Amino acid sequence: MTSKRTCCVSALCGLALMLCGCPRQTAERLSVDADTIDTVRKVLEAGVASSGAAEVALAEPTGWATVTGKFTLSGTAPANPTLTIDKDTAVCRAGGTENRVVVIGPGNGIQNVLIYVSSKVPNDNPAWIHESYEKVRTAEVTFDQKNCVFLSRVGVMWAPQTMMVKNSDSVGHNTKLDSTFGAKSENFTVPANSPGIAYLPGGASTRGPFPVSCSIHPWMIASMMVCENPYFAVTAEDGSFTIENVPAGVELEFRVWHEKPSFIRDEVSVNGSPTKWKRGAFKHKSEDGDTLTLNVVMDAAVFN
Amino acid sequence: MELPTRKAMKLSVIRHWFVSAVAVVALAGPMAGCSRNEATFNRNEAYVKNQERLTKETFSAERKADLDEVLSGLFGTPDRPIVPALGDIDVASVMDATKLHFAAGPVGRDERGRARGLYREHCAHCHGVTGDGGGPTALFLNPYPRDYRRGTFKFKSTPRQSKPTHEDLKRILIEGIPDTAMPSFRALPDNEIDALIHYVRYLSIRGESERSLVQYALFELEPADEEANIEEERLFDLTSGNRSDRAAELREYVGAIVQKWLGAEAEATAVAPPSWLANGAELSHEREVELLKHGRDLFYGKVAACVKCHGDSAIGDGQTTDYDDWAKELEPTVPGALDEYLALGRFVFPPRNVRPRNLRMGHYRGGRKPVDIYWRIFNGIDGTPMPALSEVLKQEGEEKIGVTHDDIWALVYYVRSLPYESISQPVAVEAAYQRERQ
Repeated sequence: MTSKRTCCVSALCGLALMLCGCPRQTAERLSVDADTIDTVRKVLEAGVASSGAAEVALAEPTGWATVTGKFTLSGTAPANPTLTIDKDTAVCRAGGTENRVVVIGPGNGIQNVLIYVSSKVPNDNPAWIHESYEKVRTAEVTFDQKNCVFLSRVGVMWAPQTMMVKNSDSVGHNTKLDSTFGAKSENFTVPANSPGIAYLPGGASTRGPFPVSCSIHPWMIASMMVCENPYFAVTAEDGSFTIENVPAGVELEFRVWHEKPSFIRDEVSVNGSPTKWKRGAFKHKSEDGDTLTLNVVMDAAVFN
Repeated sequence: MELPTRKAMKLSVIRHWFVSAVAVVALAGPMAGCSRNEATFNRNEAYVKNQERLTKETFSAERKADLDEVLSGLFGTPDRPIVPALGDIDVASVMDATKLHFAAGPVGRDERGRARGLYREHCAHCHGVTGDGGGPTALFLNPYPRDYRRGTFKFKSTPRQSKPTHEDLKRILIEGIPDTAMPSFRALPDNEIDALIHYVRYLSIRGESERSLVQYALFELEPADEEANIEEERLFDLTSGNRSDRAAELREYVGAIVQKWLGAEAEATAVAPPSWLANGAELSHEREVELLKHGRDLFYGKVAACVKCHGDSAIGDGQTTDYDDWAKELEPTVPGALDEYLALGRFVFPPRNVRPRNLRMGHYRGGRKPVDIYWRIFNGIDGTPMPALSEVLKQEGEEKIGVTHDDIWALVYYVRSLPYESISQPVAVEAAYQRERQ
C-alpha cells in the first residue's frame, strides 16, 4: 500500500512538474540555433584572408572656408541644480554652488555648445589640414581647476595635442578622464598648485565627449572631447564660435552637442528656418573662400 | 477479511506497475528535457540601457536579435566556444581553442578522460556562465564578483585601461584576493590555471565586443525615421547583399580588443628598487625611520593627498560615497535612473559604494608584496576612483611639483607600516588638509 501511495504521489508530482515545464527562455538569455551560428560564422569569416576593403579614393578639398555663427536661446533656461560642497570648504565654497550645466551669456548666447567635423579627415594630408593648424598640432592645451571647479566645462582637443591637467587650487585633486571611445582613460593625482600633468589621448572618436570628474570632490564634473581633426569649436560666453580654414569643395559632416540634450535632435531654427538635425548632424559643402554663417536659435525646451 | 481473488491481484499488480511507470516517465521527462537545454550567455541589458539613455535612442528587438547572432557566430556558446578568425591577428596566444575547450562546457571529462568544464566547476557560481559577475551566489557577496565584460581588471602590473598580463591573472588565481570571496586556486595544476586564464580572457573579449557592437549600432548605424518611412539599418543581416563589408567592420571592432590583450605584456610597469637598496645595500634602522616619516608626510600632504580618501586615520573613511566604474554605469546618482536598470532583472545588482581600503587591516587585495603596492600607487586602480600617482622627475633648475620614484617607495614603506602604527595618537594634519566633520 505504502509503495502504491508513494508511486501515486510521485506520479502527481511528476505530472505537475511536466505541466509547469522547463524554465522558460527569458528575454535576457540569448539562444541562437546551431545552424544560424554556423551560417553567421561563415559569413563573418569570409574574406578574412583578403586584406580589407579597397581604399576609396576621396575627393580632395579645393580650398578653405570659414564656419562661424552663434547659438542663442529663446525663452528662459531651466534653473541649474545646486551643488552640495562638503569637503575642503575653505577653498571650494568660493567656486559657487551652482552646477553650471546650462550657461546663458550676454544676448541670450548659449555657452559651451560643441560643434565639430565628424567626417573622416586624413590627419596628415596637407590638402586636408590647413598649414595654420601645424602650430596647433604641437600646441599644449590646458585643462585647469580652480576653487574646485573645472575651468573648462567642455574641454576639447585634437588627438595629436598634449593636454596639461593643471591644478590652481591649494588642495589636491584627481582628474578622472573616463573615455569610452578612442582616447585613453586616465585618473591622475594632480597635486596642489601643480603646473600640469600631461595627458596624451593616443586616439580619438567622432562619437562625442566623455565625462571628467574628481573623486575627491564628487561634485566636480566636466566633459572632454578628443577630436580626430582640428575642426572644432566650443561656443564662447555670448554663444558665438568660429572655425577657420575648414576644407572646402568637399562635403563635410558637422555635429552639434551640448551637455544637457547631448546631440541636438530637437527642432531648432537655423538662420530663420526650422531645422531638425539627425543625431545633431548636418552636412555642408563650402566653396573656397566661403563663409558659412549659422545663427541657431534653440528653444528653452531643448534644455528641459 | 476476504482474500483478493487471483484476478484482482493481477489487476492490482498491473495498476501498480502502470502508476509506477507514469511516475517514472513523469519525473524523468522534465529532468531530461530541461537538462538538454544548452547553457546560454546573458545579453548585457544593463549596458544596452546605459547606451540608450546616453544616446537617447532605442536599441530595437531586431537589433538585439542581430547582436545575439553576430556574437554567437564570433564566439559560439558556453558549451561550444569559438575563437573568432581575425586574419593576421594572433588570437590563439590570447585565447587558445584547445584551452577554451578544456575550460568550457558542463563539468565532466572528455572522451580522453581530461577534465572539462573547469570554469563552471570553479568560477561560474560567482562570476556567472557569461562572466557577468551574475552567478547564483553573487548577490550575497561583498564586493560583488567581477563582471569581466567591461574588460577592466583592477589588480595588475599595467597602467589604467591596459589589460592585465598573463602573470597578473595567474597571480590572482594562485593567491586569491584577500578580504573578498575570491579564493586561491593554488591546488589546481598549472595547465588548468592556464586554461582558466584563457577562458576568462575569452569571456572578457566576448563581453567587450558586445559592448563595442551596441555602441557601434547606436552611434554609427542609421536610425529608423518614421516620418521619412526609413527602416533602421540592421547591425547584421544574413539576407542582405553586402554582408562582407559589414563582416570586415565587425571583425575590426573585435580585433581592436584582442590587440589590446596582445599588447599587455609589453605594457607592464617595470619597477626598479629604491635607490637606498641599489647595489645590494642594506637599509639601516635610522634610515628606515626617516623613510617612514617621509612616507607619512606624503600620505598626509598636498602632493599625494592619500588622506583625502583613505581618511585621517587611514581606515578608509575619507570618501565613502563614490562608486566604481561598474556601478557608475547604473547611474546611481541620477534620480530615477537606477530603478530603470534594476527593473531589467536579476542580473543587475543594486550598486554599492566603493570604499577606499582600510590600510590598518593589513589586507591588500592586489597582493601584499612591496611591488604590488608600488603598482597600486603608481598606476592607480583601474575601474575605481584610486588615481595614479605618476612620478615627476625633478629637473635641475626647475622646481616641479610631484613625486619621485623614491617618494613612491617611501609611501609603500609607510603604507605597509600602517597596520603597526598606533591609531590612538593620530598624526596632526595641517589645517588645509583636515577633513571637516559635519
